[in-house]
Amino acid sequence: MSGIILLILRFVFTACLYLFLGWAIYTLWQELKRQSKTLDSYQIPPINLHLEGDGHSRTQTFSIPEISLGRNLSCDFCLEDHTVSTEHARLIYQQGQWWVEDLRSTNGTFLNQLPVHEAMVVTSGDELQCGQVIIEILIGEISL
Amino acid sequence: MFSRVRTSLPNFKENRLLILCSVILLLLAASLTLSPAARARSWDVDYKWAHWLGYILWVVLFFYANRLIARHLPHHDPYLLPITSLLFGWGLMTIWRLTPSFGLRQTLWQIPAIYLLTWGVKRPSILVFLKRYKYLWLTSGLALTALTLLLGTNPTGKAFPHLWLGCCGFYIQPSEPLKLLLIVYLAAYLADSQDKQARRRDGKLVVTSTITHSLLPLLAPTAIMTSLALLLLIFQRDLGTATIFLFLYAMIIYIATGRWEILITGGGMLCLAGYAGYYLFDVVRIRIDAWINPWLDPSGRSYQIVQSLMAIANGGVLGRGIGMGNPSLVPIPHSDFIFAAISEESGLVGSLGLILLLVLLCTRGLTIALRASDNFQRFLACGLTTYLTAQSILIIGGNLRVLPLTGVTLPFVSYGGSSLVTSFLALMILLQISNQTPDPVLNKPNLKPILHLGGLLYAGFFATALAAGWWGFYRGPSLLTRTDNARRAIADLSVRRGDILDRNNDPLVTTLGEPGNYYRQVLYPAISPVVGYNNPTYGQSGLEASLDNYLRGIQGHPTLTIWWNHLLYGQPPPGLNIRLTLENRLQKIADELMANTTGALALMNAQNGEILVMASHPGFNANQLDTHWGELITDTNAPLLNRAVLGLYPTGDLENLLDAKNYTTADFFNVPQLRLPSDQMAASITGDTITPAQMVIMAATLSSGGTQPAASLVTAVETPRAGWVILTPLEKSNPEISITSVQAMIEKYAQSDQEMWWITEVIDKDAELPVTWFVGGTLPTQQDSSFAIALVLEESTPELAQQIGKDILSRAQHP
Repeated sequence: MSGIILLILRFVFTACLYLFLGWAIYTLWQELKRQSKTLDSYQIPPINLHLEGDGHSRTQTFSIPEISLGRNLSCDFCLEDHTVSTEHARLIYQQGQWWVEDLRSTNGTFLNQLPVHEAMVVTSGDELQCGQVIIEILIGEISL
Repeated sequence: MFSRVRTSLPNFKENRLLILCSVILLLLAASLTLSPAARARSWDVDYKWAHWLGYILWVVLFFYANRLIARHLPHHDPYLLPITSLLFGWGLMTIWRLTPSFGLRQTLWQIPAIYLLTWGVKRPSILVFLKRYKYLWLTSGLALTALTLLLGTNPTGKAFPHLWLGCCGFYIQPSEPLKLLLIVYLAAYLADSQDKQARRRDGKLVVTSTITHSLLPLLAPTAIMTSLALLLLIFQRDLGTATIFLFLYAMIIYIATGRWEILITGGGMLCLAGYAGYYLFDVVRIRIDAWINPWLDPSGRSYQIVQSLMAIANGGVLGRGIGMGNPSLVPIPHSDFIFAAISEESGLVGSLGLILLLVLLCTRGLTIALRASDNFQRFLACGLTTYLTAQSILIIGGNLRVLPLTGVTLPFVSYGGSSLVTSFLALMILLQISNQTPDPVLNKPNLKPILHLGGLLYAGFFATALAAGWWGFYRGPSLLTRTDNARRAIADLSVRRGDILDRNNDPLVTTLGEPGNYYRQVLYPAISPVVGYNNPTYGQSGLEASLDNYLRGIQGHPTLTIWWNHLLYGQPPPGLNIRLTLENRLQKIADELMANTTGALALMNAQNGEILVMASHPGFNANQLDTHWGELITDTNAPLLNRAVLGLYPTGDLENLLDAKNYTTADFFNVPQLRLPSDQMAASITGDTITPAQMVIMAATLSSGGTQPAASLVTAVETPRAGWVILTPLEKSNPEISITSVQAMIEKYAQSDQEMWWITEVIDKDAELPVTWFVGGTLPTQQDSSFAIALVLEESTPELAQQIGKDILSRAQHP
């Protein structure tokens, strides 16, 4: 009889042990799902680069975390102007903000007329100047 | 004051899991209390209560820690405390079960461990503090360890190794906290040098965790400090800890640099260290030899590992239940071999559960590292996780023969104050690091090395899980039948072994005593050479060996009964009684007549082949094996030998006298199959020598009138359901010679007045070792009481042989 009681205790013990493991893994799985959902919903606010040129203007919207600007055709935002270096500057999304960084361009990068020496935070409505080209920056959804 | 605690989601989870842990441990403690009843199969026993002290203190301390952590670290990881509390509680109950005095010590050790844990979580600045004074910590750790060179002692009182400091019953092992201090130092140093580098890269925002510049300036200071620690440990022969150090060092550098060369170098260094250690240190050589081939010296150098594997095998899939196994057969089960002890009593399901708990701990530790807010915390979390899990893999692998045995502890589980306190300090730091506010900012750690580390540790756990399955399930049954498995002898103490009876159910051998201390008693000691012995020290021989399965109850019972008994008690059902063909009355007469001779006698019923008497002299007393073993095995007269079936004697002219050459000799002198362990051995011997058992078969063929009877010594086994079940002879009777030629031959030797025939023949009369045969039997005309006899004396005494032989024959005929 004592053997049977102990056998039942052993089975309940094992069941509880695996209940513990199962429950821990289940909650971990739930957390993972929740997290991947948050990551999904966590999106880079779209950035709109508006270029006012001679007779024609263009606006490009980006939702990638890094945008390169320059004369080179491989750049994300291509600027056909002789005052713009091939790889002139870049915009990156870090720590919840858009930043601008100069890539040692010949004629310099200016944010609201201030030269960009180290990375600077960009806000909506800022004016970015690469060489002689002036780009207007609007962050967020815009209705054209 | 606890009411102010906000019940957030992590705390809710932690509470639930901790309550489940307390239920699991409650079940374990209750099982342990009841286990003596099931062991003795009676309610009238001394129950175990002392371990409840450990349980109560566990509940109080861990729920207190739970509240305090929830208050001070609201965003901490909710899994760490329940996992470690379960590991610790499981270990605590196992230690109480193995050695109550160590259980009490471990119970008391949890007070400082939990105190330090709660002391640490109250101080958020502790991480900064650790980072700032990194050199101070490591140096003091090294100094403490160095102190063991001068003041080191060993609490067990052994001369070596002295890895402990302290006195008067309180000892610490400085190499345990040294592990922690080394991790803190390495993490702080590497994080510092990375931050400096990041600052140099002016204007760059992207901070990666990878150090890109040359490795040498980075590694030099850490290598010096680590080598110092290693040298100390090697000098103290604490080689298991040295292995952990080397592994920790390589892993933390790899996490910090992401350079795969580090892993190659580290792996190479470990192999090289093992190789060098093999030639430099005896202890390494013994361990590695025992690992590569444990079966060569299972009672010596690889005793520990073989016993550990047998304990794991005895656990099987479901385990014996706590308090029901025999884990104490493995040396130091409370520390190095606690995994084997847990495996034996919780089975494969339990050991896999334990491994899964460690996998969970590993996963949480690395997740904390991924989410850490800076490099120092990241490296620290990785280092601590590596320390806790790699050490677990090392010792579990050692228990399972996946890795060579190293004397490290199983963190949280094994007995040992220093190890326990260090493990809980590591837990405290991990809890501190995990206390991050959920931050939407993605800081970009170098994921790859951390994932590689995770993969490596998972692979280690997977290998141990596979090995646990291999030994516990696949190889288990064959391991348990090994003769050096002491569990069989232990089962004999609490399960009654079957009796051996004579043909009239007169017991020859029986089991006396109470459950728990049964012992074997031969009621008629002179029969010992025939029935053999069953001794916990010297093993088994004779019928005790060959009929072991019946006597032990693992044959003859329904399969379900055997399985059920094994499941409940880990023991076979009660043994079955065996009935022999021997007749106690005649056997006693024969032994009295042969008392002062050297030789053997066999008397057979010539009609049915049943052996009525089998005597071998000089013999021994199986009851006095323990006191006389030394004399018995050195005695040149070989008293342990059953001469009737194993004594090979020359036949000389006897074959010619009996016209044996006219018949097919091989069949004529058939080796009888008597269910003795010697059956096969005797059958393999050919030549001009035969045993008395062969001779009596021949004589029986003549006395029965030409039919060779099927010899038997064992007739029946008493099963609980069907009563006495006849064991049919292993051979069939065989018409051998025509009746007329038998009669012609027997007439030559017939003694008409006594209704018998016999031949007395002395072989090698003048040689150093003369042999006297007496072969005879009743005449074939006496169909109702027909007997045959073969007697051999290792001396030249035909008159004595004739006297004994005739006496036995006539007493068999006229009871």
